[in-house]
Amino acid sequence: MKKIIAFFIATLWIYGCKKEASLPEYNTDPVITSYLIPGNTISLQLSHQESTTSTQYSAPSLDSLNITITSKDTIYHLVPKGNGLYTDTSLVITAGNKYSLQFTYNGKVVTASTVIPAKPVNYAQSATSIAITQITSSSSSSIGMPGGGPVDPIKLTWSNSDESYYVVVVQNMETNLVPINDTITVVDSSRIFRNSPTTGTSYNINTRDFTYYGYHRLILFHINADYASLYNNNSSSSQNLSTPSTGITNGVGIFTGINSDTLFLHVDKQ
Amino acid sequence: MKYIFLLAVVTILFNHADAQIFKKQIKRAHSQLDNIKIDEHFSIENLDTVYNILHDHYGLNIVYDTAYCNSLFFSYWYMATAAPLAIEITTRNNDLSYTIDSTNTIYVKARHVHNIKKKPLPNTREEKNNSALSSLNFTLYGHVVDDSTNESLAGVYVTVKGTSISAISGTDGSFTLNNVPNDTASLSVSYMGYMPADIYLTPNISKTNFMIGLHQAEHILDEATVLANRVDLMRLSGKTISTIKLSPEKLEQIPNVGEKDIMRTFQLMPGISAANESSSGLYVRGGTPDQNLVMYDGFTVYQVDHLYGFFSAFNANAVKEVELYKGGFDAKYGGRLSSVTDITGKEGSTKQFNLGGDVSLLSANIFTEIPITENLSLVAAARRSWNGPIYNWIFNSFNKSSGSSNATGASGQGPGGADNTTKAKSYFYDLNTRLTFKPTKKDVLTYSMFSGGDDLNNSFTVNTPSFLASMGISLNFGTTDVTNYGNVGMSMGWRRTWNKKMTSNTVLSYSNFYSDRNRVTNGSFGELGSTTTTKTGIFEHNNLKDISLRTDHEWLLTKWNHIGFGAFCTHYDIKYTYSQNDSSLLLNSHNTSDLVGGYLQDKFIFFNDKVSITAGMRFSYFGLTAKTYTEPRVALDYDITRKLSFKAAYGEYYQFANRITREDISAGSSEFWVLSDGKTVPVSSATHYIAGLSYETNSYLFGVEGYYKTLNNIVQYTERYSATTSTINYTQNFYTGSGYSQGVEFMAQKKIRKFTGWVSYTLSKTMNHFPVYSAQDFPADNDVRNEFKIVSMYKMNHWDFAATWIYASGKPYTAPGGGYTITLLDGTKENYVTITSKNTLRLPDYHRMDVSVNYHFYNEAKKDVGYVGLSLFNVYARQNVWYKEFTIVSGHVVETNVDYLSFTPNLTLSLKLR
Repeated sequence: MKKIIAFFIATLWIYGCKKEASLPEYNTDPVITSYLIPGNTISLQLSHQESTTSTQYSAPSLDSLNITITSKDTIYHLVPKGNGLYTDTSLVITAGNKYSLQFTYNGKVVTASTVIPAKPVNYAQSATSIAITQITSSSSSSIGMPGGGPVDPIKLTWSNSDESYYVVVVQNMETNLVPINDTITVVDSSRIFRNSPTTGTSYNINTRDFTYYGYHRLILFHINADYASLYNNNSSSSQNLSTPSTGITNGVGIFTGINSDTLFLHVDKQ
Repeated sequence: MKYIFLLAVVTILFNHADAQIFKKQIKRAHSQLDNIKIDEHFSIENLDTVYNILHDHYGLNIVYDTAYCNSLFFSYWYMATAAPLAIEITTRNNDLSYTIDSTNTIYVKARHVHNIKKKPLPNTREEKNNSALSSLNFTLYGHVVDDSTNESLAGVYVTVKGTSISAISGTDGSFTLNNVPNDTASLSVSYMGYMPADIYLTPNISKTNFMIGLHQAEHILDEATVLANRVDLMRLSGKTISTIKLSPEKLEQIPNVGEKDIMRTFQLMPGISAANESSSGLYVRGGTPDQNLVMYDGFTVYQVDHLYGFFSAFNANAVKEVELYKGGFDAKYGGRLSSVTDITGKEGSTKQFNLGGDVSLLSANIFTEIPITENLSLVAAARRSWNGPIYNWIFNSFNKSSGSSNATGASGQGPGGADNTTKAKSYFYDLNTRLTFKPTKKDVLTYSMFSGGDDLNNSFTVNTPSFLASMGISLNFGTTDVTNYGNVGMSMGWRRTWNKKMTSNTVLSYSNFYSDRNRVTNGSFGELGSTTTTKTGIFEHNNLKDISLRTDHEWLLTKWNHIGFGAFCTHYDIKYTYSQNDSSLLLNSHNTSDLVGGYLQDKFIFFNDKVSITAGMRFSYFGLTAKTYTEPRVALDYDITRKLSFKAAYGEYYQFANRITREDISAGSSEFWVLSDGKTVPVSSATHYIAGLSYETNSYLFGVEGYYKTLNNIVQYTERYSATTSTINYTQNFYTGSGYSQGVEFMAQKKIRKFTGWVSYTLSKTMNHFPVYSAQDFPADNDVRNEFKIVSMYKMNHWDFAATWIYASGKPYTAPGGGYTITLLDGTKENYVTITSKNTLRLPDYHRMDVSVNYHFYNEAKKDVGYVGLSLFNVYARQNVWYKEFTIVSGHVVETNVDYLSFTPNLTLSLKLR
């Protein structure tokens, strides 16, 4: 009887201590970054995925692939430029057209396709300039309230009858950045800010969003859903880790059409 | 391993010391009957059977009318109840009374039936019985008090010397002695902790208000008192499979962080995962918390978490008892796949006012019992957290994910140079109220209300630079992140005992779960007075309403055939909206449906009560799918010997309302309830197979149970696999899968004496199959292979000592197979990680020891009126990993551990009037 019990316990112990697989398999799907912009020629960047600290690998080269773009039954063969960059000067992107990508990598056929969105329609701004009082260490007026009164935000509007996605990027164009708040350190990266992708028809830029004086361009991007979803798929936690959404088969990254319109705004010193 | 060894040694030492003390106690015990502890679970047994079992199992000599008692039925769960009290309980509501003579023979008789025929058990002496019962003379009504404080004493034995006529004083100290032979007889009065007294009656005494004063013994807290008044914290049912009963009265014995907690205590039992500091919900046998039906006085509670799940929503001061069915539950319960937690609120005294409360480093808690009339009582309890040092400690530990910023929240960042800070302004609260009204002896009407919630505020604010503050300028902008969630529930119940064979319980209930989250960028700065401010961020609202009417009936057809039947009707109304800014509604779901049905079950008892089989069927019609669902259930109980029993159960279960987790690590994941619609979210189902053996003596319990459970049509929600070349359709993000769970649970419990506790081990495996994640089965997120738990409690006079140790093998996690960076249109770079297979790696093993010590205060009547307690959570500061974060650094994906709570001490002061 004792032997039976001992055997039973030993079996349980072994069963209970069984190890799971120790290391995740390296993901060899290539990373594609390509924005297709009307009027521009095509440019496509390929790269390997970064390895985990515990993974050793050797992946095939990215510079000798036969990459094709098909549009309206015409096949274009992209030319490798080194370091995973591919271009074709004969292919000029046109709004409304569909472009399909295909190549074979590591024994798998990688495919993706996108339609170039239309140029934004009725893109308008509520003002072409605003005045903001500079904040200095000896400043005594209310921040962002020139003359002590409230300032309306800059309202950007556009038409969007099909509820497609738009994103606004605001960029300071000045060479020498003059901060609105004189007490902060000038950082080049903070010359740009944006909103989240929206299916709406307007975006208000508040005066506090501006960091620097001078000319700004207000770019309205008409984007596809796959680009919009990049903003929703940035998990880095083991609790909910899974491969980000992508329109690419056997690959990751972005292959998407973009269209845009641009307005300008001057932020003046009050 | 060394921890196990250490604990084993401590356990043996305690046991040895404990046994020695107990031997001394026995010698000092005042009554032999007091020392007989009854451990039985009677479920609708006739009283004849009950008395036979008490005779067979415990050697009690009981004289009663067999035919009469055969017509009376009785349900009760004794947990080490002293024999006299056990007998008294059988007489309640049955219009019976009892007496005990000097030979420890117990006489039970009908209060208003004088000519019953007595059928003594074999060991009783009929001659003596007849003479004792026929000595009718006068009835003496009296009251026992402490002679120094005049406070009423409950549980005092008053005996007419030389006869078997005796009584036990009630909670208000009153007693009634029937059949006192003459007015010059003498009474013997005894009570633990007091000097025994002989009192001589005279013809002049008041027969309606006879006062007896007792004098305290020199040393308080006779050890036998402790023995007699012992109430178990937790018990497994000997009769019903996979059932645990918990008495909140002794909950403070278990170490806690801030609050004595019902759900946390259940997590110390086998089969219920303990390694979940971020969830008070129960993971029972591989099930998720939403698969556990939680009922509070008859209404369903949909949210059981406070403060990120570290505390449960139930105030232990307002709870009378809790029963947990880990699986195989009968046809009375439905609507959940895994388990049932049935919570009963306190009724409250109809005689004495009581007031009490607790204060800890986390929260304050107050409760009262108010006897409004002789048959109407009120219990009210309220609790609220306060921002003490522990609160902020826990808040910061569990709020790590909310502070990270990335693409989603980019527009919410303040201008350069200013510091973003998160300040804990959150709190939780709950309120319980229960009215109990007993208009007749057959009817009990109840009204119960529960309201509890959390106001979580994770707002980012921008610090005002000192030079601006000195000029009177304040900055008031940043990201507002406010979440309010909670439950409001109420029920009106009517319980009626129609006759000796039929009882019914009807409950009308309302339950509302709400969760509102606004994580918005506050653009109001600089535009004071402007109404055009745009909000960007996350808006999430979930509102569930459940209006139910249910009626349950028990019909004791014959001694061997008991029928249960009932009907239920629930109207669900569930709304969920999720938008990422004002103009972008990503998910909008509003479903209403009715769930109606009924059940019928029959319990057959065979072979002299050794075997019982309960077979039942539950029928449900669900409006949204327009289908009828049938759920067969069957349970077997076979008492192989008096101590050894075999139990088994089979059941099918459906679930119509599901809680979905919307994962969002950047802003914090959130959970919401949706109704099954048969398409996007199918009706999920489970099948349970359970079998087990238990061996139980008065002192020990050993149990083993095995289970196998299949799960079908379970749903997960993820935004990652959406088809992204067209407009995003978020309703397509529900994915359906299946799974199974299997395991075996071992339990050894020491139930009585000063050193109590249990050791349990669970071996389990929970696998999921979701084609969207993997073609193969993969371990479920909550899969824990080995769990080992030790709970030890030691009581010594005023002191309680307790230690718990939990070991759980690591949970699975998904590690990245790679990562990449994309340059977005605004020039910023975002990192993404990819996976190759789900849940293939394991987090490090979880283990933790908690220790507590309480010092109890006793009033002059020797009643426990409070304690001051010290709890040490995670006493050796084990860094248990909650989850891992992955970042790309220098071309490599680097993982970082995010840990659970480290060593945390807490102080609690608890006081009550009585």
